[in-house]
Amino acid sequence: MIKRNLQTRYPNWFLGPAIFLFGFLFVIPTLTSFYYSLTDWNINRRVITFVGLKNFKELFADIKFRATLSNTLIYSFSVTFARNFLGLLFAIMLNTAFLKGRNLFRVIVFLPYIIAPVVIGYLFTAIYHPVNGILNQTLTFFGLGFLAKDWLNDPSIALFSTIMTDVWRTTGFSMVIYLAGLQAIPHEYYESSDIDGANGFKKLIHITLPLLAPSITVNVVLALIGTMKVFVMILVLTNGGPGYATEVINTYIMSMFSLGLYGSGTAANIILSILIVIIGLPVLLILKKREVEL
Amino acid sequence: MKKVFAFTVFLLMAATLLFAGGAAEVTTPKKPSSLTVVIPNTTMQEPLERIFAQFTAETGIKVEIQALPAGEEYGRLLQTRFATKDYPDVFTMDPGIKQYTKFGVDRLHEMTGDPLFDNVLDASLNFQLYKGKLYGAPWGGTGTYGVYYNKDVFKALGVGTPKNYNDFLSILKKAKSAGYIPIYEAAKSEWPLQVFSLIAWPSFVDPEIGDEGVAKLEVNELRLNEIASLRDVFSRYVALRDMGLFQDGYQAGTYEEQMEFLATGKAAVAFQISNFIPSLIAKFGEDYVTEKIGWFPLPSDTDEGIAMLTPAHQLLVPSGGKNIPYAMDLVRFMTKPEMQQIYFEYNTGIPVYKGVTKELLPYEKEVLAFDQRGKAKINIQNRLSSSFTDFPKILQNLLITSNVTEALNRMDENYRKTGNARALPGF
Repeated sequence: MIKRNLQTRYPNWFLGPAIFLFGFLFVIPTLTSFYYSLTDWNINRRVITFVGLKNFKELFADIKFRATLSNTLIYSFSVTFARNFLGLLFAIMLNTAFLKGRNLFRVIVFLPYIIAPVVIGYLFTAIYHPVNGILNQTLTFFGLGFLAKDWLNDPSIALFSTIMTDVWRTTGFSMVIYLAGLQAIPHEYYESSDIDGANGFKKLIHITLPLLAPSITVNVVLALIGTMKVFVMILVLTNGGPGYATEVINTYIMSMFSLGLYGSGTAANIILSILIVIIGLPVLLILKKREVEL
Repeated sequence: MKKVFAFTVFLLMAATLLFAGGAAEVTTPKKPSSLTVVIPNTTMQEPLERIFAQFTAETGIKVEIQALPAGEEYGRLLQTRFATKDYPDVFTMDPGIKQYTKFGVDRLHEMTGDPLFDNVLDASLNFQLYKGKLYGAPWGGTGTYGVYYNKDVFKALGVGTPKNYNDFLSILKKAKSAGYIPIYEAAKSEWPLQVFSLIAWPSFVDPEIGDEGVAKLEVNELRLNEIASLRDVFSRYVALRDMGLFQDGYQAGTYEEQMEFLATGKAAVAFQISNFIPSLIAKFGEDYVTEKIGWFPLPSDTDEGIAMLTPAHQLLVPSGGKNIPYAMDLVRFMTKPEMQQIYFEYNTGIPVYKGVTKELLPYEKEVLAFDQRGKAKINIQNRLSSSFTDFPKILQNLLITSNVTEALNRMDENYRKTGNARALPGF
C-alpha cells in the first residue's frame, strides 16, 4: 500500500517539462547531427546535399584522423588507469585514521582539480620548457640532466607529457570518490578479518576492493568518457603538435569546424560518440557485475 | 464610384509611401555609437588607434579594435563568426582573391566603383579584381617573404648574399662551423614553417610549371603532388634539417626567439615574412634593424633566385554587417593618404596608394630592384582561389616523418578539398 502511494504521489505529466527540455536541447540536436554528418554541409554551401557515408569514408582514409583516433585511445586509457591507480593509492593512504594532517594532504592532492584546465595548460607549458622549464632544471640540479627532455616538442614523448599533466590534474578527483567509498565500508569487516589473522594485503583484496567496486565503476567510467573528450588540455599544451603527435578527436573536430567543414566535423563527432558508447558501455556493464552489495 | 476609385488610389499611394518609408528605415541604419574592426593580434595597434581617434573626432563614432590570434587561426575564427552571423563591421585579411572565395563573395560588401580605388596604384588594383569586381580595399604596403640574414654574421664569415643554391648551402655550413645557428626555424609557432616552401616556389616551381601551370592549378587541372619541382622543394627542406642546419631542438623554436636570435647574431638566417621587420624595429629600433638585417630571395640552382612579393593586405566589410555605410566610411577614412602616412610611420612595405611618401628600408629597395628587373613573382597562395589548408601542420609533420610523398599528397588533398568546399569551378 505504501509502495503504491509513493509511485502515484506525482502525476506522470510532471515529467513533461523535463522531457520537453531534454528532447529539445539534446534528442533533436543529436538526431539532426546524425543527418548533417551525412551531408556536404560547409560554410560555402547554400544548399546542403545528402552525400551518404562520404564524410565517414573520407575521415577513415585521412591519416591525420587515424592518428587522432589512436592518440585519443592511448590518452584515454592511460589517464584512466593512472588517475585511478594513484587516486586509490592516495585514498587508502589518506584514509588512515592515525595520519596527522591528513585533511591538509587531501586538500593538496585535490587542489589541482579546481584549477581550470586552461590555466594548468599554460602552467605546464612553462614547466615543460626545454631550457627554462622547472622540470628540466630540477632534473639537472639533481644530476639527472640525462633525463631532461623537450617534453612537449619531441613527438615521441609529447603525448606522454600531456597524459601526465592530466593525471596530475584529475587524480585528486578520483581520490575523493574513493575516499567516500572507503568511508562507507563498515569497520566490522576489518575487525573480523583481524580476528581471522588477515594481513593488510588480504584485507585490500578481499574486503576493500570488492566493497569499493561502485566507486571504481563511477571513477573508471567518468574518466574514460571525460578523457575521450579531451580538448582544452591538448589545445593549450601542444595544439595537437608537433605534427599530429598529440592530435585528438576533439582538436580534429575543432579544426574541421573552424575550416567551415561542418558535415565532416559532425561526422567526426558522431564517430567520437559511437566510440564512447562502444568502450564505455561494456566497461560499465562489466564493472557493475562485479559490484558487491553492502 | 469615382469616390471609391479616388479613395482606393489614395489608400494605395498612402500604403506605397508608408512601405517605402519602412524600407528606407531598414536599408539606412542609424548612426552607430561604435564600429568594430577585427585585426590579427600581430598587427601593430598604435597607428590604428591614432587613425581611429581621428575618425572618432570627425564622425563621433568610436572604433573598437578586436585582435584575434594570428595565422591560420585568424581566418578560422573569422569564418566561424561569419557562420554564426557575428559579423564585425570591418576586418583585415591577407591579400588575394582567395579571401573572397573563402568567405563567399555574397557575404562580402562589393566595393567596385568606390572612389577610394581612384587612389590605388593600378598593379595593386588589378590584383584585387575577382571576376571584374572588387570586394576588398588594399591596406598597408607590398611586402615580401624571403631569407632574412644578419649582416654582421655574414661579414664575420666573409660572405656576401648567395649567387645560387649551392652557394647558399656553403654559407650555411660555414656559419655552422663558425658556431652560429645557420637557420633558426620557429617550428613550435607553426606558421613560419611555410615560408621556405613559399619562397622556393618562384625560384624552383614557377620555372617548371609557369603561369600556365598556375592557371591549371586554379581550376584543378594540375595536381600539386604531380609537380616534380615541388617534391624537390620539400626534399630540400628536409635535407636542410638533415644537414644539421636548423638549431638544436628546432621543434621548440618560437617566432619570438627567431626574431631575437636573428637580430642578436646568434642565428645567421631565418625564413620569414616582411611583417616581422616592424616587430624587430619595435624591439631593437629602426637603425639597428636597418644596419643589421638584410634580405635575399631563395636562390635557384643557377642564379640568385626570384623574389616573392606579398601584396598589401585588405580591408573587408561583411555584407551582413549592420552598419555597412558607416563601415565603408571608415574604410575610406583609413585609406586616405594622410592615414596611410600614419600607418607607414610604424609599418614597413611599399605603399599602394598614390600620394603616400615613404623612405624605403634597404631591404625594400632590394625587393623593388628585383621587381623592376622582372625577377619577382607574387606569393603563390595569393594567386590561387583555393588554399594550402593546414600547411604548417603538414610541414611540421614532414620534419618528423621525412616522408615527402605523404606531405605532398596531404597538401594536394587539402587543396582540392578546400576548392571543393568553396564550390570553385573545376573542383
